[in-house]
Amino acid sequence: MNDQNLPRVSAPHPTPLPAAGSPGAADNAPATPWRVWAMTVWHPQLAAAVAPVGVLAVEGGASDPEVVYATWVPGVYEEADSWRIRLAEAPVSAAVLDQWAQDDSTLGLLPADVPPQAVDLAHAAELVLDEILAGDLLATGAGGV
Amino acid sequence: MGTNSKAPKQNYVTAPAAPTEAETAAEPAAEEPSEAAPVTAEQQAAMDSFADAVAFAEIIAANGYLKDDDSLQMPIPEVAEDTWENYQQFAEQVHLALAAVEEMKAAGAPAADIEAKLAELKAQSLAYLDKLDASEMRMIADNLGFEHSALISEKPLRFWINPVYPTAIEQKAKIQMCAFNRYALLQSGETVMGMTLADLHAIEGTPGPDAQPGMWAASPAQVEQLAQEAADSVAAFKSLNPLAVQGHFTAALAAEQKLASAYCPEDPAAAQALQNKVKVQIDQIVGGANFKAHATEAIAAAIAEGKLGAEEAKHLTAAEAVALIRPQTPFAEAELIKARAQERQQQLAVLKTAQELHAKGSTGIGAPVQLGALGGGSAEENAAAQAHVAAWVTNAGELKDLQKNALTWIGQSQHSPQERTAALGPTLETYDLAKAFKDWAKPQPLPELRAVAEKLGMPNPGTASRAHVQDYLVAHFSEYVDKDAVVAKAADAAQKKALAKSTKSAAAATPTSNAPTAAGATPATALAAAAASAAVLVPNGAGVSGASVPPSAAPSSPAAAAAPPARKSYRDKHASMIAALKLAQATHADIPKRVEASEVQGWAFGPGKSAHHLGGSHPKSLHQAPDGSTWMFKHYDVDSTARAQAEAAASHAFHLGGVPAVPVYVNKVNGKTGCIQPMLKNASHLSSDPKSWTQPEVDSMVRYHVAAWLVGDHDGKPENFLRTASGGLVPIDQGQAFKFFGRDKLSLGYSPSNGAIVPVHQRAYNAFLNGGLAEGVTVKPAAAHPVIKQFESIPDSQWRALLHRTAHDGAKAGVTWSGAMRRRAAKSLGKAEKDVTTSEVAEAFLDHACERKNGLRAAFAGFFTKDLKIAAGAALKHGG
Repeated sequence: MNDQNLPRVSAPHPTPLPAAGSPGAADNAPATPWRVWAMTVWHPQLAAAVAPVGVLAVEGGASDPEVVYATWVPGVYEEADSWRIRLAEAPVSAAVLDQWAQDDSTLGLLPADVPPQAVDLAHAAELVLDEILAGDLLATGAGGV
Repeated sequence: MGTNSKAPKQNYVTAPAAPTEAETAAEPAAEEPSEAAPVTAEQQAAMDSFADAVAFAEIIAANGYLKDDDSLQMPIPEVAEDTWENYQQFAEQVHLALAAVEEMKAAGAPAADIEAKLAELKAQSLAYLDKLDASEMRMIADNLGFEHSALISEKPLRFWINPVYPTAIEQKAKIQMCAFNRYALLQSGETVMGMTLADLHAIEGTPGPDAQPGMWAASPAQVEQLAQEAADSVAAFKSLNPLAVQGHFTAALAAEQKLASAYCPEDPAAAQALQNKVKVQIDQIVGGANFKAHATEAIAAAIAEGKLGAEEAKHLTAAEAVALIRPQTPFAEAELIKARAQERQQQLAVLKTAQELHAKGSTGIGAPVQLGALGGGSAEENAAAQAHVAAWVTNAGELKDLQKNALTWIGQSQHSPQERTAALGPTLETYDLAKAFKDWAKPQPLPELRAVAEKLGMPNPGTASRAHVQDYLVAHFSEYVDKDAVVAKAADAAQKKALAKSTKSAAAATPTSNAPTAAGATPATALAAAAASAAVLVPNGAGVSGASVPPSAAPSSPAAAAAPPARKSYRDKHASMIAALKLAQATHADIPKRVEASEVQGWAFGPGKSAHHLGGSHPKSLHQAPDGSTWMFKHYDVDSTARAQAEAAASHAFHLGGVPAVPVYVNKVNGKTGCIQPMLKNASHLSSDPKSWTQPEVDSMVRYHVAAWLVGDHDGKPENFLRTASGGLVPIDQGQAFKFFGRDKLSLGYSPSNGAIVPVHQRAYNAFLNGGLAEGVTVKPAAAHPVIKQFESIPDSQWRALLHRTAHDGAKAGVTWSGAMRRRAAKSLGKAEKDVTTSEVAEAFLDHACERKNGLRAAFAGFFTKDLKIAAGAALKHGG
């Protein structure tokens, strides 16, 4: 584990993360498409990786993302650690995203539609987080969260 | 508040609006009220109260006008026009309606009726809230005490103000916490939800913070100094070796606490910005890989200073306890955490009581069940003995669930390993317990056992056989026996017995007659009835009792199953998927038992339901097995048969070695060959933080490593592991088995993915070498011994037979490993590679598989001594 990566691993707060492409701020309309996913962990009762713990958003279409942003479901603690550590361990590249999205594992990356009213990437992620919070069914997840 | 003018309820016919799609997905469908039982006076009174409240809520929602009769347009003067007051009136009626539903429950109203009433109320409330615009919702939320509502979008806010859901539920607390988090970010200078702090203050009309009671006056220099102290501690935490940073996290927390209680009258805005900057810096540490080790010290310090209760802390995870220590944790979040601690304390108290009751009948794993003798006494004594057995059986089931619930959190709590073991008590091994229980039940009088079964709700126990009665009782605590299936089997057997008896007596009385039998049917019609009864033994898609649901009601019809999910929002899409998963009420086994592959091949899995929302690159679908359990089918786009054979063989190999694994079988579903496996319930994912791993888990990883090496699987990343309810580890995906067979290496740094995938055992070894495992946890080569021994005991002939299809299908398909095996075959046969046949490639694969199996002991002894520098690893060579 590289300690230098730890600042990128946040608890309840949204996190600007290192991207494989050149970093930069998300300004207004996206120069390249945004993509947003719900980060999920294993749901013990449903036996599938469908318990959302956060939202991951990237700017950069199918190429390596230029900006990566993560935000977390409040009140989710250790359950989200695997995702936090996963994000801290390596820059988020297109290949890594593809691998995560295709992975048959206990962590899931489930695609969400980009909210049309989002003014920047972070806003898009936060709006999807709001979608998760608005769903009483989906906010119940692993470990009694 | 109230209208004080309640008209007779029959004047107001409610017409609830249709729920939204999302609401429909999230809520169980309302059903028609049950007609089975007569409505009691208490139930009727509660239903009347409900109808009153709903009717008045409807009038309030219509601002005093009756919607269902335009000609009346009767104004109700008491209904407030002001939005806030109108909401309060509406909410009051909703609360009255909810109270009426509780009264219905207490009066014993059928669950379906209660569900229907709740669905009606939810739909009505949602329709009311849908009419409010964003500013009205924010105003209501603000008046209800929500802070910074402008930082939350409409959907969660609408949920938060929905009076149907109690204020104190976790979901609402999370929404408030989300607003607080965003506010803290704004204060630290970030832009959130497209706005700055100044924008928010303009919306809220709020200036900077004022001094609060208990705060101390600080100069700007003092504030800056504290912020710097915290930043220095955070920086030190992040930059130093994990083993050398004790104290920095505690220091950072202390600085944060002092800073948070500072009020700077000279520059309050700047002070608050620094406070929140420090908060965000510490937030970023919490949840990191090295956090837990350092949290322990901070938690102990907080307990010593009286800031945290020792008993409370014991029932919390490190992150939860630290959140309670921190001054800026929102009140709602702190309350939520405290409630969790209390709930967990109660869980353990209930668990202890259940253990004590259980001990009265069983002293532990393998011990005989001792519940005394049934029958032979007075009627009262016999009834008491029956009640005792019924209570013990029920308690055993509850005890199992209580242990599973506790296991979901206790490993992450502040309990010491010894306290954890004591709190959980001996694990309930239901398979052994069922055997012991049946041993006890065997000599008991059947009528007495039937009486116990009747007390536990078995229908018609008088006609059930001893085996069925025993199974029914066992089903109360064993996940391996399905209660509904037992009832159905008992009914079927009784019907067949009655049919045989009546046929025999009818034949004896009138050998040539077609007269109806004593059962009221001709043999032909009775046989048809029996056949129909047998048909419903196949569980339907809802996974509910096959005996009570007519076949036509089964929701797994091809048409229903084949309906593709509509393209909707994230919430709608996943609500639909989760609703499907929830329907699947599979048996709750830690790890489903492995059965013969030929048996699984004979099962009809039906068309199933697409499960592409579960993620992953390979198409998946969910199916019901004949025993009612839910199975997942996966097929590969390329070389599906060969790859499925490899995955199933790997799973079988793990089983033979005694390494837990989900049983995987090759099967053909909907014309496609792939893998099918039962869903593993009540398990949770494994953290990728080695510091969180226990000694039994690291031992499991060592054992897994042996099995993974045997089958050449290098994809065992932490995400591919589940922690089972009993605390074990189960790998869930051997899709990469044998892929690099023949060119892979047993060494610490080996990675066919160039480091992209670090298997769980590699992580454990790296952590072991770098001091990254939890205190007292280590790598024990001896853990590998039993698995090696098990694999060594597999004869080569059996091993070749198990891998035969994997070898030959893989060679024919030319899968990844075939190149290495072709070269190997060419070398050993003295041929050119192009001249090697696929059969020879397959044989080379099998030869290599046997060599690997037979060389496990030497290979792992070398690995532990050379790569991990553990001298004790050499002892593996000598294990017998």
